[in-house]
Amino acid sequence: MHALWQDVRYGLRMLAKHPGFTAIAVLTLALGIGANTAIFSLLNQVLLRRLPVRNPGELVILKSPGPKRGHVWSDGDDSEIFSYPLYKGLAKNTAVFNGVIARYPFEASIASHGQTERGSGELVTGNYFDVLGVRPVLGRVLSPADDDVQGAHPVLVLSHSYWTRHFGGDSGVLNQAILVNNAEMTIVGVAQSGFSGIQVGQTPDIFVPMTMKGQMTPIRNGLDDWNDSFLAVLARRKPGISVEQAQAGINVDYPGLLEQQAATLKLREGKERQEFLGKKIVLYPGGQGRTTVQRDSGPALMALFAMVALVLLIACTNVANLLLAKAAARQREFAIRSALGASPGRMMQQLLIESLLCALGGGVLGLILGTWIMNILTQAVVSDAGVKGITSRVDGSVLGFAAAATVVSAMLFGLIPAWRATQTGVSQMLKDQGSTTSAGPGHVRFRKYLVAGQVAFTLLLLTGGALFARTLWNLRKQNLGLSTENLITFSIAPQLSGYNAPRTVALVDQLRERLGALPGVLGVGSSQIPVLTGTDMGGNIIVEGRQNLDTDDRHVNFDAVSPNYFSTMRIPLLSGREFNAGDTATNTKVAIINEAMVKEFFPKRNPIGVHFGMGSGDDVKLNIEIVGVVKDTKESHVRDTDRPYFYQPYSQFGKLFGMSFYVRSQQDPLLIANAMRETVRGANANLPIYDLKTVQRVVDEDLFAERVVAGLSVAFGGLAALLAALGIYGVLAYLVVQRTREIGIRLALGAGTGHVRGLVFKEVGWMVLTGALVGLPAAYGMGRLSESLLYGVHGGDAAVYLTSLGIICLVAFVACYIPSRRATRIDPIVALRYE
Amino acid sequence: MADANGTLIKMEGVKKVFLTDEVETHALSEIHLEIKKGTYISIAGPSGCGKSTLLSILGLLDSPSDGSYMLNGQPVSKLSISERTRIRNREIGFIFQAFNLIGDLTVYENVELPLTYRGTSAAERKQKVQHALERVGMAHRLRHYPSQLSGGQQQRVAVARALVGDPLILMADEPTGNLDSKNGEAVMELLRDLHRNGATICMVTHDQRYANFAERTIHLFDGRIVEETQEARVGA
Repeated sequence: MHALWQDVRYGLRMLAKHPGFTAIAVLTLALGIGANTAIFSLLNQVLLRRLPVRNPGELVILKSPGPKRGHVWSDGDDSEIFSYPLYKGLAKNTAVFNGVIARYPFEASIASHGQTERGSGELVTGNYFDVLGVRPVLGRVLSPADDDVQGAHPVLVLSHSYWTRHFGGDSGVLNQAILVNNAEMTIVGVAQSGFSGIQVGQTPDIFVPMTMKGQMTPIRNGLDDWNDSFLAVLARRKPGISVEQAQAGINVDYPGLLEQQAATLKLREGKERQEFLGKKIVLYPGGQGRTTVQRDSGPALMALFAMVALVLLIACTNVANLLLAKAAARQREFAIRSALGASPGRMMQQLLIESLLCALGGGVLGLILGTWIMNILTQAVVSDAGVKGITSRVDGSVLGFAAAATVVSAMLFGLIPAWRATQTGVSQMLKDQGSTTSAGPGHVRFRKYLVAGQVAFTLLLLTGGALFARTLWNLRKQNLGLSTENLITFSIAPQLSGYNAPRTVALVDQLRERLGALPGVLGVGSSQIPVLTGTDMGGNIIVEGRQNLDTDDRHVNFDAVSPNYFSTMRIPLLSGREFNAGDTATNTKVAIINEAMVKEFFPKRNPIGVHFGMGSGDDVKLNIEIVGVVKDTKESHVRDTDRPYFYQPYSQFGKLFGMSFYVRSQQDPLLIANAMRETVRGANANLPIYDLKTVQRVVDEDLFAERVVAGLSVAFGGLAALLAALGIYGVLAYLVVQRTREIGIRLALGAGTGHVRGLVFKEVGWMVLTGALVGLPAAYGMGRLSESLLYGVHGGDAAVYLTSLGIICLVAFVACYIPSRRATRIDPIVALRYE
Repeated sequence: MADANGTLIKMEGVKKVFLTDEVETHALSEIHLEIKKGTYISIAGPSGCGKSTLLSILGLLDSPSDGSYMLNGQPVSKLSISERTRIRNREIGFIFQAFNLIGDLTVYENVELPLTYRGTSAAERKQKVQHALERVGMAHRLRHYPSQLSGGQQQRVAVARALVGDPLILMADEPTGNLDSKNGEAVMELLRDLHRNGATICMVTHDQRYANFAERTIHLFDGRIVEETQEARVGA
């Protein structure tokens, strides 16, 4: 113990004695550890963390792959979504499950203390808290008794964060009444701290019994409809029941439930019916809750984590290289220690403690840096990507990771230099002989291999950065089909404030007229589905003359839009006409279709005047007339490929559950934002408006993942290039010093500056070439693996590889400039005296 | 080519002053020296007398602060670094006390080095290297590295390297300083043989025994030539 403490003191003294080395090493490690900690924190919160509930490992997610019928609300995977009657049937299973729960997220307009604001709610089944094992921190949680009769129990439970944020943690909230979507609800409890639902990225403010759905989403209740699927379903396995056993158990009940649903559908006998009834329940691990965000962002996060790990590896290589140079300079010290009886193990211990102290400094600074990076990332993730509940808090996992990264780094960069330092013979080291030059070629060779490794890793990162930057560039250059110039949008949800469909249409008409009258406004349009927000609405259609198409080929997405929508959005009208004031609910139903729909359904036909109907079966009325064709636009995501789409006038649509407005102005549209707010307030002071932003911002938000991945990967590539430059510089500077005498001899024998410079360039050329030979194939493999994340560029794009190679060559050239200059200035007389 | 009198080197009033931190050190003062082609001259004197500085100037590794220096009839005291480098490569062969072989290069590659800088063709290089190594009796160690040779062998390789470019003069700086007496004697014998075959040699030594191998010795003290002796017998 005394020896250990002595080594610690000596190590601290050595670090203090070489402040330059210590500062560079600590800073290099801090950058590596900090970046890793930040990305790990994000990765942990999104991909790794389990739900803070009782025995999360027992939870399973229910999926039913195969054809869906009727209306499906989904935020990703349709197979995860069930109707309420189907859920009720599944929940009866007590053989393999200790409980089956369902939830549906909804937008909530919450009015309390005279203020109305928009929040997020979750409709949950009565057994939700009990099955999850979530306790109340105040009052009680919901129970099955709150969920027995539709509309009978206007109660809710607050989430802990909403309670502290909006009620200041006041225990007096119990039994208080608040208005949620215009329905009076009573607060009966507050959920336990840390629990924020069962889906990463969603943090419900309130939990409401499922049977209150009619009140919470008045436009569509759907609780009695077998063909209205909107529920995500999870179950808790009974102890001792494996996933396979549970799956087999639930599939005993499922066919009967499907038969009941099939009875409500008019399915044709044959393949269609067989496929529908042949569906099975498949169980997936549910310990992390629903994995929508994980599925969407997992590959990008894993790619980033791999990249940031490489940055740390490069940082460690750099520090190892510095330590090797330092160890070479201290060979004499170790020879003396060895001569005095220090064992190799004892000397290694001393060097490793020095490395650990250095890494500790890097770890502490890295944690601070990581928190800072995480703060920036968190703000961006929450505000731009709409993923809630991600924090920059340093918890046990993050601390543990930083500590592990610190120790692993210390081992990575400290072990080999320490081992090598203790391997040279004592007598050889103590003998001061100089008959030949370039002593210790193995030592230098090892350092050169380290730098070649750095070059390889840097090439990987630069290639990754270039591929992701090209992807972002391609997406930004993507023709959206609409113009974002001076275009601003906002949304309202009148149904949450008690508006029915006719009143909603009247309100939207009124708002369009008033907004259009604002100074500087060039046009106003509105649509039910906000563009480029990932929202979709679709269904099956039957087209006049194409009734024989397969079911899967009849699925089309659609939207409800206003007159002047296309001219406001600057979506070119190719033929026919736009919607106008004459397209009212009582007149002929009309639609405008896009080019992709023309190609799909009317390959050799003029679609204008053709009729189609919505739904499946033989009795669908073909009552919608096509009156226009517009160019394809990116409706859901910038990445989308063109697909069939049609638009209907919102006045003819029926169930309007929200409306987004688009206002194009002559100048910066944010200048009229306040006037727009006032206009809505003038129509209804209690109607909240949300998502007020420019459409360019909407595009940026849609490209959030790509922006983060491109930004971070380019930053990591740049950091790696900087570290590689330092590494190359360090090794070359060391080489020049080490070879001073040799260079002196060469100069004495008649070598010119070109020859000497050539020596240095040969060294750097070897390192870059060796690095490239390893790095480029590895980068190619990585590029091919990440092709799902790319857009408009393939993983083997030659230009990307040449650019990366060019950058690393430039970096190497810059890094070797000073050492090569120094080499040419060596005075042979001084050099020949050099020992 | 030497001039009509056969003078290869002619120095007149050569001085060398080192300036460091306001201190002026006169390393050489008023050196007048003439060396004819085919001469074996040794420069002797105690440590710090300026022997190595004089050899550095003679070998164009350094330039004089004052005075003139004619090598082979050409003024060389005010040449640019690159010109000095070129002449050094073609006209002068160096033998160092510490051998100064490059450890990462084989014997063959070490000897080949001056020819490489001169741009000699590979075939000619091969032939000259082979010949030079045969002259010093090291042709059987072509692929060895310096660390695999004894001190005496290393110095023989260094002599071969000095000879390989057919220089006008060999500059030897304490060539036996790092050798035991047996190997020292052998190297001195080698130099004497080279001289007998026509080589011009200028050797720095502080050892009178080895100085006697030369036909002419100049003695330096405090940077000045204080005495010059001509040996009646060349060699022992």
